[in-house]
Order: sequence, then structure tokens, then C-alpha cells
Amino acid sequence: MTRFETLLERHLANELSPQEQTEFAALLRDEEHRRLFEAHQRTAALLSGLTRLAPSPTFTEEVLSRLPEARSSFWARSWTLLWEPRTLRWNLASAVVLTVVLLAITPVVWRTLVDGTAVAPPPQHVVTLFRFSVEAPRAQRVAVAGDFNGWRTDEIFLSDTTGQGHFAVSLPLRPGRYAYMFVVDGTTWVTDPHATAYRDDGFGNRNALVTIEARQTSRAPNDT
Amino acid sequence: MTRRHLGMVLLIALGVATVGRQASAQQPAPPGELSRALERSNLSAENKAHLRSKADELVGIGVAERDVTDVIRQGAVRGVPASELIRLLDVVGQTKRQGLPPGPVADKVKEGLAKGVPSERIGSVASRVAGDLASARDVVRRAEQAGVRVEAPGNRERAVEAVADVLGRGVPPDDVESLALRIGGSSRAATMSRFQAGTQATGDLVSMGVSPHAASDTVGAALAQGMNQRDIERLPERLAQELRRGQAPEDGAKRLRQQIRSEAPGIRGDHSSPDRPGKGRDGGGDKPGRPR
Repeated sequence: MTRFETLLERHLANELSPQEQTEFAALLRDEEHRRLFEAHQRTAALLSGLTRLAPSPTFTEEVLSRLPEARSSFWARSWTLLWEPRTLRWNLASAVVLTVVLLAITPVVWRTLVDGTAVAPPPQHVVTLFRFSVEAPRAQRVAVAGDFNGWRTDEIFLSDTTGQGHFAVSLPLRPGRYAYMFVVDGTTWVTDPHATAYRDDGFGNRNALVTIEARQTSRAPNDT
Repeated sequence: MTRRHLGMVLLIALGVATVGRQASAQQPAPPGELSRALERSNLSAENKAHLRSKADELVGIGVAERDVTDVIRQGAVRGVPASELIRLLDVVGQTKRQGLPPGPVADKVKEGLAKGVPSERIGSVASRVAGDLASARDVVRRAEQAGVRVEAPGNRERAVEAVADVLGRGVPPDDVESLALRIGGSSRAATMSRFQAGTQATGDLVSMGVSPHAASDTVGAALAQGMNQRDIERLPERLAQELRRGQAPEDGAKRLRQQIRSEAPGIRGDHSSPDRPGKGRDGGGDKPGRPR
């Protein structure tokens, strides 16, 4: 760049000092310099007449997004994903919903941690048909009473299907252990002589015990 | 309506729902069955009112209405005076207030009334059952401290009832606790349902004529061999086979112990995980019936 061109550039930027203005005026006496100066003035006049375009607010982001992406490793991206600051937007309704969900799952998590097991599903009360039977040749009617029916003596009656005093009834029982006795003709309490287990009732008699196992859909009849 | 208003409405609705749910849980169930039982009785209006008040009180503290109704119905059928029925109901209520399962006590009262036993004796036996439940709760607590784990809701209460049952049959608490220590020694198999099964098997052996100490020894041998829960429950059947061969109960139990000890661990069960799913009656979480 010549001295004239340097001074011309500073003149167009309106940055000439008084000494440089004197020097610039002296150089303009040259015909070639004058022609070049007038050409620059015309160009400046044309440019100043153009409409000024304002950039969009997202101009910078758009430009940056079109730049070729710098390649980063998986770990670098993961690290950024984990540690990049984020803005959490919330409102009262979502906070209430979140609170309700937390309140609902906290007992489950707590029980899982304390008991060491997930909360068991609700028990499925698979009933088992258990057959009660007793020989009572002279009986008119035989009932069975026990823990399974609140010891009611007027509720479950055995039927004498053979007519020879062989009374029987099948009851659907849920898993568990039940004490029971037969009641002959409404007055006489009789212990099942063929039960597998017994227990003193505390009142001077002996209850028979029946155990219904869990996870069992059927059971061989207790044909006593 | 702004978001703020919506949030406030949601909060208020949540609060009302929570309070309402608690209130409804504390309310006694509709007393239709109880009313019918009282109406059919020959009690005076005043006694009916007293019994109704007592029934509401018990249901209010959490005793099953079915139990209360059954007791009143049985008593009314047998002509038991209201004052005596109230005393018996009080035994049930006190059991519940002590945090113990009242079902076994209620069952014993119903049984006594059905069998026509004098109410004083019923009260005495029911109180003894309540005492066994209190002792059993201590045993179960110590079992938990020994490492026996409650694997499903309700198993603790069922274990308390099972232990109370065997205590009532004369098995010393120390013998029951020794079962808990054996079970607590294994890691995954240290479950309350396995402890309950061992306890019930002990009680069954006692009911077959075996002494309490020999019964707990026999079940203890089975536990030491790593038997699974189902095979522990079948110990009474195996003893019954010995008795059918003409063995005396004590001799049969001794022979059973010898058989158990001669079996290699894991043959009848799974030594590492005796209660694993698929190996018979594992878990035992589904035991709504009361042990007897």
C-alpha cells in the first residue's frame, strides 16, 4: 500500500490529523491521485445510499449452527450431558403430582430396602375343596363347626348320601389351619377320629385340625 | 382460573381425600349383620344398647366386625347374659389394644360359647390365649433380631399366632427360640414363613404325643439339614407313618430324627435356598387362616 492509499483510507474513515491533511492535499495535486480519490468518493456515495439491513436476533446461533460440528468423544458428550447446567421449569400442579407419586412409591422402596424383598403381590386366596366325613349310624343330622365358620352349629350340615350313617360334606377352604368338631343331633360334640392332627380345646375336649396348604388347587378327599 | 388457583384447588382436594380416607378407615363397618343378631336375641332393649355400644367400640379399635357379631350371636343363641358377653368381648378388645392379633381370642370365645361352656371358663381360656399371644410376640421379635426376615406383609402376625399355638400346647419358649436361631443362621432361608412352618410342625408333633422337647429337636434336625418348607410341613405325616408301624410317639420321633440326619443335605430340599420358588410351598405368604 502506497503512502497516498494509506492517507486515502484514513481520509475516508475521517481519521486524518491536520499534518496528514496537509500531506494528503499536496498528494492530490497529482492527476492520478485525484482520479483515484474521485472514484472512491463516488463509491462511498453509492454505499451510503443503500438500505441498512438489520440481522435477525438468532443470527449468531444460526451462523454457529451451520458451522461444521467439532467431533467429540462419547465420554466427552456424556460428561457434557451430565454436567451441563439446565433450567428446570415447574409449576404448582406438576409439583403436586410429583409429591403424590413420591408419597406413593416411598413405602414400596422402603419395604424393599428394609425387608430385602420387593413387596409381595396381594395373596391369591386359592380355595381348596376339603371333604369332611364321619360315621354316625344313629344320627339324624350332623353339622361341622370350626374356625372357618365362627363355630356356628346351624350352618354347615353333612348329608347322609348312602342312608347308612355315612355323613359327608365338601367345603371350599382358603389356605390356613382350622380347628373343628362335628355336632351330632345338635347336642353331641364329636372329634373327627381320622384327622391327622389334634389339639386340646381348653374346655375338656379335643379339636381336630385341618391344614389347607397354599398354592394348591385340589386335595385328596379326607374320606374319614 | 389461573395456574395458582388450579394448584390451590388440587392441594385442597388432595388434603380432603387424605383426611376422608383416614376417617372412613376408622369408621365401623355397616352394622347390618350385628343389628340382625341383636334383634333376634331375647335381650332387653337396654342390654341390646350396651352390647351395641361395646360392639361399636371394638370395631372402632380394629376388631373384625364379623368376630364381634359372631360372639354376640353365639351368646344370644345360648342365652348368655349381656354383662358376661361384654366381659368376654373386653378380653378380645384388650388383646387388640395390646397390639396383638385378636382373632385367635375371638375364635376361642366363639368356640366356648358354641360348646356351651360357662362364660367364666371361656374368659379364663381366652385370657390364656391372649397371654400366649403376648409371649409369642416376644419370641417373634427375638427371631427377627436373630435374622429371621419378614418377607411379606402379614407374615409377622401369622407367625405370632403360630407361636402362640405351640406355646399353648406346652412347648417351652426356649425351644421355639432355638428354631428361630437355626433359621436365622441361614441367609436366604431365614424367612418368617419358614419359621412359622417349623413352629407349626413342632406343635403338630406334640399333638401326636411327642414331648415338646423331642418335637422341637426333630424339627430342628430338619432345619439343620436344609429341608424346604413343604418338607418341614410334612414331618407330621412322616411321624404318622412311623406310628402306623406300631412305634410309640417318642420312638417314632427318634427314628424320624435318625432318618432326617442320614439324608444328605439338599436331597429333600435345597440347602442353599430352601424356600426358592418352584420348590413346593415356598414363601407361604398366603395363609389367611388362623393357626390352631
